[in-house]
Amino acid sequence: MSDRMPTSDQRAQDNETVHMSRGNVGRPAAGGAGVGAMALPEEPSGAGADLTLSYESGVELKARSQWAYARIRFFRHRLAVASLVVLILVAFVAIFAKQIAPYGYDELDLENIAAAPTLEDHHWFGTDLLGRDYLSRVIFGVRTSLWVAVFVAVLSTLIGTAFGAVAGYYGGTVDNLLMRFTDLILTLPGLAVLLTAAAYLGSSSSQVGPLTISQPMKVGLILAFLFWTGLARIVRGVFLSLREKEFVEAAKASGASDMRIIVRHILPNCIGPIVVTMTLIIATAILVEAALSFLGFGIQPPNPALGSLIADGQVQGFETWWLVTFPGLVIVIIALAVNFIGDGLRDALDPTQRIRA
Amino acid sequence: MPDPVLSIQDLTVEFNTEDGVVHAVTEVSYDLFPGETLGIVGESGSGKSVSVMSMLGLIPVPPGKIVSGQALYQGRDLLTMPKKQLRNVRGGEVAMIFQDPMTSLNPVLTIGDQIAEAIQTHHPGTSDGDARKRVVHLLEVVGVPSAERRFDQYPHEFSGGMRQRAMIAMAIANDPAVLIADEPTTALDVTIQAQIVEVMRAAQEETDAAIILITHDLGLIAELADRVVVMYAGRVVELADVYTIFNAPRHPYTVGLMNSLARVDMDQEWLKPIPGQPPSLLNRPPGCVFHPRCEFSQGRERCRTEVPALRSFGEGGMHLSACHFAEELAAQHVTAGAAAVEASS
Repeated sequence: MSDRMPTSDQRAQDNETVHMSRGNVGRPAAGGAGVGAMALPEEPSGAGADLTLSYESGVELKARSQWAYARIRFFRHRLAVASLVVLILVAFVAIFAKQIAPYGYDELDLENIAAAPTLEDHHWFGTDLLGRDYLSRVIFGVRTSLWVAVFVAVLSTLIGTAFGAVAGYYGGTVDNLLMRFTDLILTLPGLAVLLTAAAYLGSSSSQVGPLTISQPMKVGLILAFLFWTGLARIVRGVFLSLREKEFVEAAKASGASDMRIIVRHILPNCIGPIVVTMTLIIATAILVEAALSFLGFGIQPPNPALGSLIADGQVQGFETWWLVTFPGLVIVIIALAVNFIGDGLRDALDPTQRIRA
Repeated sequence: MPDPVLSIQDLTVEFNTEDGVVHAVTEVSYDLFPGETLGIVGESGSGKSVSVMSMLGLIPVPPGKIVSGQALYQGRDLLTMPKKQLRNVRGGEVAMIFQDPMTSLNPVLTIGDQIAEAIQTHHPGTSDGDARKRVVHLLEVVGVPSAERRFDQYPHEFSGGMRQRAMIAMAIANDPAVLIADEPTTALDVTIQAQIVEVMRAAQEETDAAIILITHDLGLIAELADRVVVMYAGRVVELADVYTIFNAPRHPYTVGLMNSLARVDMDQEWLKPIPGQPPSLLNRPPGCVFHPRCEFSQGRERCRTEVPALRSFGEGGMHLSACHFAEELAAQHVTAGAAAVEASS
């Protein structure tokens, strides 16, 4: 051992060599392997310290889940975020309509009949021909219309997803039967069916067993019956491609039942398209419900709905412009907001999209 | 010899296609004994996977069709078992490790959830907390570092080797008696392959499972298998313990396989391939399926007309070969295989 200890001269020499060759870590110093190895540990002062520092202050890699990426992408979409804020506001007003609306929707103010919009007495949107406060009526109209739209979206999403999932997963005859039925629904002339069904189902609430089906709910049922087809096709397509994936086979090999594979393994992969389609259904439902109510077959009075408000208002023509303009504007705003949110969600939930600065 | 845990007898599987009937697996029989590792080797399309998948009801029917045979798991025939019972066997008593860990994991579920799912499928009463504990333990067994944190990560946050470890953890989640590994290392690079071999050993130690190892990697067979089934064109051509297969094969196809191995310890200019192509399973040659490529048959009449039966050699009847002239195959035909076994052990 003693013969391998460097003399002070040697050590100085070695230190010099090491300094000159800084960065070549692991390169044996000139004066023999043993000596070089002993000289090296003295070296880490300059470059070595810098190195550790840069590691510590370097990129801290944070693992992000798919949802985190989706959230980031969604919040980059400014229009979608603004729309979300608007929609949340509208929904808030609709939900708390009773507390927020200055008047009841059927409350008469006989001193102000057909008054133009004014700041007095809170008649911001004016009053209609019976002296009912129009702001309150629009707020309650939004409440009805939004409720119907969400009802339609949820119901048709459930139906469409179930149809699409079963058809796509099992394929063959089952697929053929279910999809031909879907095609059949798609070929029905929408408006004609809607009008017939609305007329047939009547304009009041009815009792089915222990369930009371209110009139707006009836409109929702009719719309949902026609709206699930698009989603069924989309979900079927996703299922068709995913059921061939190895992870489905792996789930099968681990003993999962068909139901479990559909619900636990494949369905989570379809959430993106389902959510997007659902928002688009909401927008369409609001518009179609408005059209239906405008034609007098939708929501029946005294329930105010946006469509029937426009229908009532247009009787007077341009003189009472506010009766048409305000509910119309609200419809446009809601439909646009929901569409923009759908756009944002589609971009956000598409995993092939990278985050752009 | 103990009773086999799994016994495949006379299994014949066909696929009806537009071009005709594909004879994927013909009259295949083999036993799997408790705790052993049985390797199944053969080239692509030799029926290695189909023989196993059909046993678990994992081939599409139609076009697939199980023509005859039995797959006895502890005395019960898997092929005629009601669907519900078969589901309990799958993943519970007979579990599978798949070839490609990149696509065999669900991209939208966390690794932990997927393994817990396998547990809760077979033990519906398990609480999420208990399942989590078990999953973390399993991940540690298969060598996933910081398992607690990894539980909540998604497959895309795992490397290929780590994913295959997770797949193995999922397969052993319910303490299976039989573990089927379908080319478990094919999709991985060589250094990871070596690690996965260790993980397979750990998994077998943890569960005492008998393993069926399907592969075309003879190195993996030499490393892991106790006994070996050699398949060619849907038939079993030879069955013996791993030393016999490498040292004294008694079928010209096995001899050809051994001679075609790339050798690290010898200076070879060229590999020695088996001449010709594997036969189409739509239209197999009559007689011995291997005879058109067989250097040994040399146009003998019997090879072309008569399908050779599996016959036993040596003591104990544990070495089976399907060649009419197996006795003539001398040991000097083989040198490569013996060295490969020595090198790996």
